[in-house]
Amino acid sequence: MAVAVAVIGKENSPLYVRTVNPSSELKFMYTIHASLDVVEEKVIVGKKSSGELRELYLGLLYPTEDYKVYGYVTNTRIKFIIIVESSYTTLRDNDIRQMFRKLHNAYSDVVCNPFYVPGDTICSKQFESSVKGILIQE
Amino acid sequence: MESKPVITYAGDLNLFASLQSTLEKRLSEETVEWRRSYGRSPKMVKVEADFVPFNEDIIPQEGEWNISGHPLLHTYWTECSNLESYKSTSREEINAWFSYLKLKNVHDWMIVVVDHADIRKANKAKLLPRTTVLDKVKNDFPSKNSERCISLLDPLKNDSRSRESWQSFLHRVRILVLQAYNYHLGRYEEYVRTQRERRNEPGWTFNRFFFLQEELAFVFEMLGLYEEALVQYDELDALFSQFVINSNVGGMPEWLTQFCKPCDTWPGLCLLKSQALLEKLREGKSSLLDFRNYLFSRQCSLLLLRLKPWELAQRALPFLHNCVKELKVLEIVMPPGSIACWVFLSCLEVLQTCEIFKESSQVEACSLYTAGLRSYAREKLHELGILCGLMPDMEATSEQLHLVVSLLSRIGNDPHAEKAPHSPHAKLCESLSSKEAFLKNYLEMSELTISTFKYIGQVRNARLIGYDLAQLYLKLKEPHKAVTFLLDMLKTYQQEGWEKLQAKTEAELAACYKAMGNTRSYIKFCAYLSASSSVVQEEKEHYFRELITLKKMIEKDVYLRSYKLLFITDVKIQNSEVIIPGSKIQASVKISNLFPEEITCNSVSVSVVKLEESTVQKGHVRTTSGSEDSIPLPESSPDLIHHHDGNTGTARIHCFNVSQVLQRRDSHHSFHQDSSKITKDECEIAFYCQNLRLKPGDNLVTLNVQIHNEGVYSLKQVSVEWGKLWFIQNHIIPQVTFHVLHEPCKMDLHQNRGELLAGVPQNLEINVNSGSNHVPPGTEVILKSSRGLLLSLDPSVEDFSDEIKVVLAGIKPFQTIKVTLHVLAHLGPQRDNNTVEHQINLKWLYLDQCVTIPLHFLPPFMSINKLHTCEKRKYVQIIVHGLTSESFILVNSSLKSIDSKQVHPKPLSLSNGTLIVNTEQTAGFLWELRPEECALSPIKFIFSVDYLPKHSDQSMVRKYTYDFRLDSHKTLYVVKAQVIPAKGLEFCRVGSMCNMHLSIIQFQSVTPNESLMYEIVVDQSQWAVCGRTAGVVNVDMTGKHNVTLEVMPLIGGFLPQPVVRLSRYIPADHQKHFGKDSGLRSEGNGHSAARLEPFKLGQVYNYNRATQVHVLPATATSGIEVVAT
Repeated sequence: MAVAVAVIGKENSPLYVRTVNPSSELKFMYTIHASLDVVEEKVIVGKKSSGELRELYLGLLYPTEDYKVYGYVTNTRIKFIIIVESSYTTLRDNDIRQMFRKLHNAYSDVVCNPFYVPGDTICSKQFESSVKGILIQE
Repeated sequence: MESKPVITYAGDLNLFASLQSTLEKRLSEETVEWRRSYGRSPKMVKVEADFVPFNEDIIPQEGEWNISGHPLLHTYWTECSNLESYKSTSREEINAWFSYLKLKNVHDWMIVVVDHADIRKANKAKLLPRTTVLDKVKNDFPSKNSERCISLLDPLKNDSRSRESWQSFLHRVRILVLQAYNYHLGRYEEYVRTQRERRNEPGWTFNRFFFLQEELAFVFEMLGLYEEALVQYDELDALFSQFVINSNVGGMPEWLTQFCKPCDTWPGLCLLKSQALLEKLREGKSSLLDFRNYLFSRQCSLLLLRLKPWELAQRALPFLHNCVKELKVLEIVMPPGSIACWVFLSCLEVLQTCEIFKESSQVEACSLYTAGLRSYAREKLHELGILCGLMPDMEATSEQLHLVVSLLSRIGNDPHAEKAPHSPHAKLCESLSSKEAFLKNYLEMSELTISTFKYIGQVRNARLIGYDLAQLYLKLKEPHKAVTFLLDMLKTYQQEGWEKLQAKTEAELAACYKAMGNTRSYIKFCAYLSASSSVVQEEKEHYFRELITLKKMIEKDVYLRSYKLLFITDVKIQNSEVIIPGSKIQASVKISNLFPEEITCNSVSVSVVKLEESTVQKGHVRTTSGSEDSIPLPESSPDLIHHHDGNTGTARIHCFNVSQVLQRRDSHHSFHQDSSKITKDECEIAFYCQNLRLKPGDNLVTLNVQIHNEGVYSLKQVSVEWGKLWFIQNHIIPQVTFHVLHEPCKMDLHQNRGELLAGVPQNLEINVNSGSNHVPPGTEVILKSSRGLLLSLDPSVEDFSDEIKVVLAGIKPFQTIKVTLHVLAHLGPQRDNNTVEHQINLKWLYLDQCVTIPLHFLPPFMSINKLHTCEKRKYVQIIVHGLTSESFILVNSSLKSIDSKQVHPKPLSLSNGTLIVNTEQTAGFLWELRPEECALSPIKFIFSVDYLPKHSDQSMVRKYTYDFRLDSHKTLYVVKAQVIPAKGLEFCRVGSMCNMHLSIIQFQSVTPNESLMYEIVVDQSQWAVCGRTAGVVNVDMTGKHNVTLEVMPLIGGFLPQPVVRLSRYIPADHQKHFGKDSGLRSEGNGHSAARLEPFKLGQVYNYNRATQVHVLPATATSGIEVVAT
């Protein structure tokens, strides 16, 4: 399961970042921020290649020795980033997709809230609990 | 590793030996299409072969699986040219060879009959060649689907027939080789597949299987099918990886333990071909790293053969990560730093290989992946640096020195030693040799990585490496170098709103500046950090204390962005009334103080900029500093929709530039984080307030300003002064504007009723509007009227004059006061209904110029006079017509002569009676003149009457006078006319002649022998005058003249009698004789023409005016006559 989950806004500002271990938050933030480079690149390539609906799931963005960074971009350019440990060898691509789908649904619920202004940081409890389900329980 | 297919030869060995070299050379000259089973697409391949002599042991035994040394095709060569020798010897020999092959179940054979044309020619002479040797061979050794018996004509000659023969022969060989491949590969693949299926059975080893499948790869590689070869390796790679993953969950198979042995060497990946690794693998002594190195180097070499260096780079990083992971999973014991060494070496190997490709498109494609590789190598070098104590802040211990030695001793020999001086090995050895060399290499690699990331547009990654460099420079005690990297990072984080990372970077920058002794910059970051929401409270307080102490030390002003420090979140203009020039404008401003403690700032000012007229109209407000962001103002106008009934149905405000105003702003942060230079604008007008205490959190502050010019103003830059620190906020969002309005005073007159009436006092209202001015009490308005118009303020006093002064009370801005004014327009003799025009001039200190207001007064009535005659008597009638709907009472009418005392007209109407006039009612007055008075001429009369509005509280009676004169109104002639039926007839009938007797009687012979002219004026549809209708007569002394005319009525009924018009005739020339009844002749010889002079009113009296003649219809007979004609 994931060690860090992030929702990045349209303008690449963080809307929500949660890590399993709060002490490592800063470290993951650097990683998440750097992975946006790859997200941008993939989105541009995706745009060029087909006029049809773009696949939201971007796949593996950024493998490091210890972690794998996966990306997902909604049609409104909201980016979801999930980091998992590389040692989770049994994790399949489908599991990651599942996580993103869950995250997307949770985010849609947040946006549906009329009191939420798109672009603000997310502080919904419901969203928090959804993310907790994605993160590793220690 | 070269494994060409083997082709055996048998038969005439000498013959073959003579042809072998040509055959070997020419076989691979051309490609041939290879059609494959299982729907695999056909490929063009090159066939090469090794030729070996046939012997019976060469055919492998059943169950022996080796494809590279396996003979694919068996050829038999013969030069036999005549049938006899064939039958006697060759057939037997071939048969022996053939049956052996059959026995071994080998179907890939070929018999070559070399033919010589000259021999054939010789044969031809003797007998007719019924069958050739080839035909015989074909017959004896039949093949099912393809031609396996072939002739080669004159192989040693070089003519066209020979060449052709060679061509077809070679083609056949290639086809047959491929056919054999098809068969063998099919079987082999099947075998590999079954072996793979058995992978979980005990006793199965990966090593064996690996070589089995690699065999396939070799074959494909040899055929030039690199892609297919790569697939074999990829499959092996995937299979191995899966085993490793599964070993973690399930049990570990026996063969895998071989790879799990502790690894004591870590040579880097080498992309040169090396047999050593393969040998090691064959012997089963290779470590995991060896195996992986070998597998990847094979994959790489195939990729390079396909000219895809970028894929090499692309695969390298996952490969390295995967290996490191596998080492972990298999719990292979490696000394610290060894993995880093291996990764570093391998990365550099791949990078250097990629660098060979210099073509720009390839460089670009590679860069995308080499950036990651470089970054990884750099990371590992860093790791080694720390491990071996080579970082600038470390001192290497003897243990670390030992480590370096042991690490380097196990990386094996440098495979590139001879060729490249900068081989990965050399680089690693150099880097670990000394601190200086390490630093040099590390910096070099970092810079290169940064530039590669920047090249492929991955700025964030570049920044992240910059962060590592910054850390390094800090360790090197060179903070000024670190600052540049950190500032770059800060900019990126600030732009994208990563507050935590921003705070972290700011803290590092603060530390740098502190170390550098740059107080001005340090104080800035102290301010930012002490107000940052991403910094914990204690640190905030720490920085705040720093800020306070430093604040006292700085000498020059320091400007700071105010966003997220001390910034205005809301501005409201408090003035509820319209803002006029000079009024005090109050703005209530909400200032957010994010510092942890209360601060007392010296001043707060918000600059105010007047917007230019054009920009306001255009809807765009451009900031004066010329920065790019402009905020569109809503452009709107009220819009009234009228309905057909004339009432306003709807009112709305319409905004023209909706799309601009409501346009979604993509970068809503950018306004706040205007990281451009922070400067204080010089501005003359500003909201200002001094000495404010700002508590942490929101503070409501009221600021004041006074503006003396009209216009639209916008609030711009906010600056908060706190000691030498200035907090500058360039924009207030949403933009606040206010309008300073200037309007001049206005004055006008307003009439309450629809129309003004002359002759009676009327009320008017003076409306005085102050515009945007304060009018003190006691100012005077001077009103001047035109002639005939009188003004008064108090109607009760009846004190009218043509100039009055009105003293006004004080007026507040935009207030309107009213002063009632009474006006009286003089009513003179009214002969028509024309209005009376007047005007009033208004003069006031507050008006730029004199205001003239035209007024129109409607006379309440008008009067006309009429003279009536009855023979000698005369009557004067005055008719008064009312002109307004309002009724007026007329009393005390009188008619007097002005100049003649003798004239006293006798009133026939009641002189003191009351008459009422309005639009529907007129009044008439009648007087008779005595005969002797009639003689007087002319007479001037004056008519006067008193009038009073009927429905009015005014009791004041006013007098109306009307004067007129009468001229020569005495009766001179009387005209009598009579229409009499013709003789013998009782009545006038239609169509019959009647006589008209006309007599003109002179009353007084004032002028004897006066010529008169009469004219009969008839309606042509009613009367026909026979003969002349006019004539000149002289009235003789008798004073009477008779004329008889004939007239004929044209229609029946009561017809008006023909009118006789009488005028005075003045002849043209007095010498000219005018006979009686002579017509009027105009000479036209230059003398004055004869003319007619009409009589004045009352001089001719006509007896028969308005009499009628009864005319009967025509008689029946005449009626018929009329019809008959």
